[in-house]
Amino acid sequence: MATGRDRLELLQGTLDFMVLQTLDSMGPQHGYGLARRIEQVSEDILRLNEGTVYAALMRLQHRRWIASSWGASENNRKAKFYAITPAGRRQLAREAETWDRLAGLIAKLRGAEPR
Amino acid sequence: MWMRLRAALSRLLFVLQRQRFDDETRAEMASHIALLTERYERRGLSRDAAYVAARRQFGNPSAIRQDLYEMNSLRLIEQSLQDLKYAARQLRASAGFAAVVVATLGLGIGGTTAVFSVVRAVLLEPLPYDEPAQLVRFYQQDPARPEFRGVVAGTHFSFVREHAASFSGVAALAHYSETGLDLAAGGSVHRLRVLPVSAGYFETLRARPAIGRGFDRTDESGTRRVVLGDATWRTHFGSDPSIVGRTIRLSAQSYEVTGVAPPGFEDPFAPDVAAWIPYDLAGDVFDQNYALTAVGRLRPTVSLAQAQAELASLALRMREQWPNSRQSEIVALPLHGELVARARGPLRLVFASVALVLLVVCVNVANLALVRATGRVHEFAVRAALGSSSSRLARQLLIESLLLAALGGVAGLWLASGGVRLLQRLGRDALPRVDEVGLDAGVVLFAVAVTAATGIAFGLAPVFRLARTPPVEALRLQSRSATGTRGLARLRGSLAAAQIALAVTLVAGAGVLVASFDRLQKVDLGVRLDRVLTFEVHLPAARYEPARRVSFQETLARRLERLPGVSAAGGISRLPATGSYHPWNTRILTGPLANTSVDRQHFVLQQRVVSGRAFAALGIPLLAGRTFDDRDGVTAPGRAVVSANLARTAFPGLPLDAIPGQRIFVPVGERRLDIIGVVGDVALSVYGTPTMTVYHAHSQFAENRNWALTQIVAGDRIPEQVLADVRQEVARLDPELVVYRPLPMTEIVGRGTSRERFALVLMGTFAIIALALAALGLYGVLAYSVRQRSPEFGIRIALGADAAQVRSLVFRQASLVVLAGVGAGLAGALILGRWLGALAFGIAPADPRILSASAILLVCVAFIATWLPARRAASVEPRTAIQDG
Repeated sequence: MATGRDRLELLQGTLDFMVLQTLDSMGPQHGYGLARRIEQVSEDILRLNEGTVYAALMRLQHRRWIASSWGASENNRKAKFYAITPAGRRQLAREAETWDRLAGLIAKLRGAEPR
Repeated sequence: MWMRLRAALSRLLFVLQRQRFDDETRAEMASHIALLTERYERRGLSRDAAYVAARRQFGNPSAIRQDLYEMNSLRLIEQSLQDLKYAARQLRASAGFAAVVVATLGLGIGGTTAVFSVVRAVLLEPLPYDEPAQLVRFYQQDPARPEFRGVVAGTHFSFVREHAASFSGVAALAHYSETGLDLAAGGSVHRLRVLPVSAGYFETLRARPAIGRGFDRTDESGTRRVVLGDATWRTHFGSDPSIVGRTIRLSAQSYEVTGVAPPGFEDPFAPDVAAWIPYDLAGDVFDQNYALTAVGRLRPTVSLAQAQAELASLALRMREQWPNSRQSEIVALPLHGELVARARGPLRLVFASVALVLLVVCVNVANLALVRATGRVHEFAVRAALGSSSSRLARQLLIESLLLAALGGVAGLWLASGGVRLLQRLGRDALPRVDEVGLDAGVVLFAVAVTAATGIAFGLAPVFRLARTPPVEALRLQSRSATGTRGLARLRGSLAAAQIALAVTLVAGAGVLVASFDRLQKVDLGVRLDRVLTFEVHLPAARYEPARRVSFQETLARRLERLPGVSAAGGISRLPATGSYHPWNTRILTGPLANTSVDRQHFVLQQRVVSGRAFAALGIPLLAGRTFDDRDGVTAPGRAVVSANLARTAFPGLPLDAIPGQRIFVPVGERRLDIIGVVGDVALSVYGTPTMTVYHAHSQFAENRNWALTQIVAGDRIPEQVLADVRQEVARLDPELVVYRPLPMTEIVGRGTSRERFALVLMGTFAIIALALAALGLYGVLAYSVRQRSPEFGIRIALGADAAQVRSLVFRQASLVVLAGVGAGLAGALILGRWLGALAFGIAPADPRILSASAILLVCVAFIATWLPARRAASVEPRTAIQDG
């Protein structure tokens, strides 16, 4: 487990992007599942209060990029599932491009060869 | 736009469901934490340790719920609602403050709204005719003296109608000949106000009769046709649609009804016209009979300038055709401007005054709000310390003042609805179109705008003050500390000075009007006004041939004189001091100026026809010779009485005693007249404009036309009491006659000053309000400062200062404020003075007497407002003051 010092603070909007990306690649998820997936992918380098996932989910619902519905979880508990909407996919595509360009820019600035 | 609307809508959906969202989120998070706990348990932690770890990983659920809740709310609106609730609570807690503010604001907003509604209806609203901007009024003038514009001669009107191509229609209105006709209906006789008009009248105003038609040129030879007003048609003819083509009896003559005017149609100049008849334009052939009000409608493609250019080009041809007419030029001016021209000055002045009052009100309320704000420094410091942002606090203050303003606005609208009726009554004779005044959507919108503006204006002062005080300082100093509020005290002092300045300005303005009105009342009109009754009797020409008219007039006068309490009675073709009428040229036949003309182009020369003992009834003194009596009948040689001015002008060097026996010639009626007497001069207008008059005896001049004589009954009874007897006498002579427009002489002449009275009453009221508010404002500032400085006064008294010394401290503080205010106010009065211009009579708006009197009045009032706080300062009990401090 990484120590506190090594963990990354989340940039504003990053979490929203990650949630969208996860919902897109994994299909409908509930909040706990999302948190697990993000934890798994980020390999513990993110310092994340998992509760903030719910704030991201509400923000995304406001923009109508995701929709929610009640269903049963793997262990048959009642859970709210979130799924990406077509508008959410379009937004994801836009944001992914922005991220790639930003990453490329940072890489260039650091003198490294672009990937 | 669409996107934003959808976003707002979806936002609203979330707001409406936020309780459900909250419940769901709570359940979701609980299960999330439970799952996390299980996970840690599976990794071997104890149940408690697992729960703590899960909570750490999740974060604070209630904080997140709070975030979500706020996300699902309309923050600005909901916080504002909260502020509003808080503000309402605050105001309830200080009901006295709120009541004073709402009442003052109501006064300011109500007054401004009421005056604005008048300004709007009279000055701003377009005329109630189709395409009103195309309408013009024609004037005839002497190119050498363009400042004297006058009514138009029939000959020149006809010429313009024939030759000017700029107009789609023109019409002449014979307001001079506007008399009245008696309509016998349902057993009683009604007098209708009847206006003779040319062809094209209804067409030019685009008010085609609702049924039937108007007049055409074949009617212009005095045919007996009539167009009824809508109200007349409904009241007296039961809205009978078959009326057109029928013959009705008016003043014992038959008139064919050609049409009914559209509902709501009013003549632009004369209100309450009940019917229109054709004007005998064909018979109006004398090129110097300036008697017609003429209007026209510009073609849509023609500008006013083009039309004026065309009229100018016609002037030459008119001069060729009528070489004797010096007034050879016709000009056209926008009708709306001409109708409201006389009202514009007073209205602008009154509006400026009421705006000043509103300013005083705002300053006063701002001052009150500041006092309150000072008491709340502590409250706001605590709120700021607890994390309220300064913008949030500022908003709170603004919402409080807007709430107060809104309440004041409601009170103001209520006051305005009463004020409008008051203004209508007051302005009846002073303002055109005053019946159209009302509170409509536009006026209410204005009131709302004024309310919002005042709310922000007086709310700003405390906002600047409070929201900027650093909380630490405010908390340390406590609210009572004088040190922390020194800037505030200065601000309040300047506000009080501003109020005094505005009050001085208004008082000086009102002072000028009072002095003018007083001078106006003292103008010697040359006639008796007190206890004189006037009325009109119109003799139907069909039943009254000239000889009968003469005997009627003389008999009526004699019988009225026999009434108890009546000393003299008679008739005159137009009352003195009510304007120019029949300004005919007159030739002098004898004396040093024999065979020259007393030319009305250079002198204000008037002709009047009198019956009975008109001179005695009017109180016009006889200076030489005699007045008319039984000797001056139809068969006697033509005789005239002249006024002293005329005697001096036409017969220079001759003593008045030598005037009787001189002779003059009046072209109208070809009258060669022996002068038999000289009487005192009367004024042409209420402003005392001098004039000279030739008086004709009705008994000798009745052939010329059916003179409409105004009857004058003078005595020692008040006019209202005499009226019943007068009606009886008239009915005894002829039961079908109407005693028309019975009015005391004071009122008839008073109408000439209605404009001045209107401005005076309103501006006087506003000045008094401003004065009272300024006194209140000063008192408030001083009383508050005395309370704050009471420890200081206590120490001074303890150290041996006597009452007078302490009082002088307060007076010194007051004198600074008052001096600054009065100085600024006098400057303001000089600026306002320019607006007073036309209304000032016999006194300059910048008259030093008025200015110094206003300043002295203000100083006196300020002294009273200072005295109470000063006395309180002197009576401070040293021990308690120092202890409290």
